[in-house]
Amino acid sequence: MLRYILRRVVQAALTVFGVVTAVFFLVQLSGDPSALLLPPDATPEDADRLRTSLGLDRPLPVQYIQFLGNALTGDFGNSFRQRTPALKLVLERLPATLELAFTAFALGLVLAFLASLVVRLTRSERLRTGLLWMAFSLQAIPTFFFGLLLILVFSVWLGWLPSLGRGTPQHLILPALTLATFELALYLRLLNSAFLQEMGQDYVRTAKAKGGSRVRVLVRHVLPNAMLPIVTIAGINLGVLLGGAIVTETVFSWPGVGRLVVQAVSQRDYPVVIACVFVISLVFVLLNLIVDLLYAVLDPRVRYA
Amino acid sequence: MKRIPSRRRPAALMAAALVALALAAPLPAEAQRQIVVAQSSDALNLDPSIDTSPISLNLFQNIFDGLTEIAADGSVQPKLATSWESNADSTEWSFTIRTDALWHDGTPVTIDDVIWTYEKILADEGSPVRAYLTRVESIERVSDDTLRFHLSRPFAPWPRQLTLVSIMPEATYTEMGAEAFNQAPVGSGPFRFVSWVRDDAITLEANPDYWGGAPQIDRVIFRPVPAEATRAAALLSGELDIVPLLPPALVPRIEAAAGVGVQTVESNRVLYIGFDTNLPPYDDANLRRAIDHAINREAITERLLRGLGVPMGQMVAEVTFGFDPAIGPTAFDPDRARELLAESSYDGEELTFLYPNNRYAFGTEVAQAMAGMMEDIGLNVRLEGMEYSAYFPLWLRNQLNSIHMFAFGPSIMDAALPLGSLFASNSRGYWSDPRVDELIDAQLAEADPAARQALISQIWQLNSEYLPYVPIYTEVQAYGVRDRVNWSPRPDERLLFRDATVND
Repeated sequence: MLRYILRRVVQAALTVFGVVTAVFFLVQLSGDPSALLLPPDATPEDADRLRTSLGLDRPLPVQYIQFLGNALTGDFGNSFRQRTPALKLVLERLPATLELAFTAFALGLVLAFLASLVVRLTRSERLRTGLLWMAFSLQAIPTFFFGLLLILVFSVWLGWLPSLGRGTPQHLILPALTLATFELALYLRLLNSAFLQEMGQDYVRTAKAKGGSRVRVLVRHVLPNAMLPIVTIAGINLGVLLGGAIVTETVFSWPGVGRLVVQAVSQRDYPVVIACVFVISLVFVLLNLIVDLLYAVLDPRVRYA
Repeated sequence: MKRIPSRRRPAALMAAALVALALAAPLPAEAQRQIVVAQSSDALNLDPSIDTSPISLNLFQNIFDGLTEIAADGSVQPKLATSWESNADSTEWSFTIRTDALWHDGTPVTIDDVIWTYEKILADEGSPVRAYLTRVESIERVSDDTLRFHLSRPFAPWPRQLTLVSIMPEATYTEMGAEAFNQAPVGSGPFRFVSWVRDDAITLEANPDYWGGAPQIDRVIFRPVPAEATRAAALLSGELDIVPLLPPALVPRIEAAAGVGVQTVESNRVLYIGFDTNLPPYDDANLRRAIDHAINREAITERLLRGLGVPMGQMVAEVTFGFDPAIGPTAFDPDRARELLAESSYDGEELTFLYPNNRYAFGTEVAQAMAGMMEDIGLNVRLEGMEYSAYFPLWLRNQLNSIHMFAFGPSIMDAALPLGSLFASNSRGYWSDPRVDELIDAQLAEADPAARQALISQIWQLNSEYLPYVPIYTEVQAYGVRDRVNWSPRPDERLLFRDATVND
């Protein structure tokens, strides 16, 4: 098990390194950032001076080696625009992203589980079809449209909830609901097929034959097996959510990492772009690692593979 | 068989929870004498010596004072400076500052603070603000209330240029350090800094000791709201009081809503068509003249933009110094355009028309309309839209090697800016003419406004003759404003609140 963990950790570190290196060179392709920093009537000399002061006049390999050296100490350089360490700008926005991501994730997952259990317990085919149809439709609605719909109903018409910003629990409701809806739909569909598959297994018949109640068979025997595919998808999905839900953050003016990425890219603020990608890929890789380990715990077959 | 009583339980529970939360803590009541204004993104810095972005400038100009300011009618007015004068060729400028201005911490604004601010910026090679002061050779302390700029080249609109530089307190800045000052600035302007929650809200409060009199409102809150649709929704829900730059399509809806109105202002931004005049067939003046006559400006401003545009025949808007009322827009005349095209060397080849697709109100539609009008006179046009952040550097580096669309709004509302950026040789323009270069230099040294205007008008006449630029229209901008707020938008898009009031 320890060897397994060690191998996965090394893989994770290499992945993050690869991603950061790729982004370092990719951002250079987007062009000269000094052009966007200066007022339109600046002279070419102004631009040269600025480039030198930002260190952009040095050859790219030199910039890369220096960047790597600094990055190892956690220094991703200062934002070109804000004179603040780039990593600090990202970490400042991480709490908002975590708050939104975990709320939406938990809300979606819990509601999906509850709904699925209700379907199985009632054995209502109409409820099952109805929920699946709802899931399909919800997944098909673009996030920005659903978010605006919520704003229109709850902020403009009813005046119950704020449409923008962060601070109180009320501010969290609409963006979390927007994101959770998509999650809910996804897990509903996954759970539905997982349950269907597991219910036909021999161990279910055995458990029933032993005289277990329906709730007991479902919760004690079927659920753990049905969870396996969910864990994988949920892990990846949580990673995506933690990387900043760009569209939802934009629609609800939520001050998270997603908006920072978009802004940094459009302003060619290289250090901030790289720091964002570093944090996002780190979170993603860590979550994948946790999922893999969790899998090994949930399913002993993985450990011996 | 047992059944769960209600199949709708999860949904009902969710709705109930929502209602409970909403009732438990209702939205904060609208605070009195407070204005909440939206910007498309958050300010990046609150230290005015390191940032030139328009979004940040809106904060700087409420928190800080410059030596001068530009009024909403485009004229230069005194601010920290009470008066100024120049030598005959506009290379030496003396400014006398007021002695009754105080920093927000109560200490007086001195001539040394003013000089320190300029010198700090000049010494900071990484600051984009430095580009505003490139012409400064030295700054001389003449007396306790007077300083003199020595410029390397004449610059008649120098008092306008200084509106872009905010004066900072030397002692406080040095004591706090640059990073802390950038988070919690101390200025001398009509509003004091209160708090900044990144990407969420910047709150300012009225400065009761402002030399020009305390503002009529208590607080102003700048909120970054990136999504256009959310800005409009939040205006309707009452969460925002002012939403700048409404897209034309939303104007009728906002106008029809209760409690909200639309205010429009003729901006300083002129949208134009430019050409790479060094490349055939764009080097042919007759082709450019044909395009000038082919564009139906009235149709674009009235029908497409629903009145949010004014047809133009010169490269600056009416509010900008250098505007000549005698030069009107070229008449729409497709027959004349076809004649001119027949006289040109154009031979049916494909012309590329580049435009930024996410910058101007209805920009894509305007570009499509103009391309259609060009095709109507027999041109073969291929439209190519680009993301503005990719387009702008191409504009800066003279790499738009065909027909292109752009709009120029000089921040200092003076023709010197577009003349220097587009018309002078070795500028962002493609055309060069020694007569124009001479006129540009002459107007920059001309201290008399009437004489300067006459020189600038000659350049507009040359433009009308050779058409390196085809001016199309001045943008009229629409702002959504809640009825309780009395405030007027400005032609330069600045959001200033010194004179704003609210109805209680």
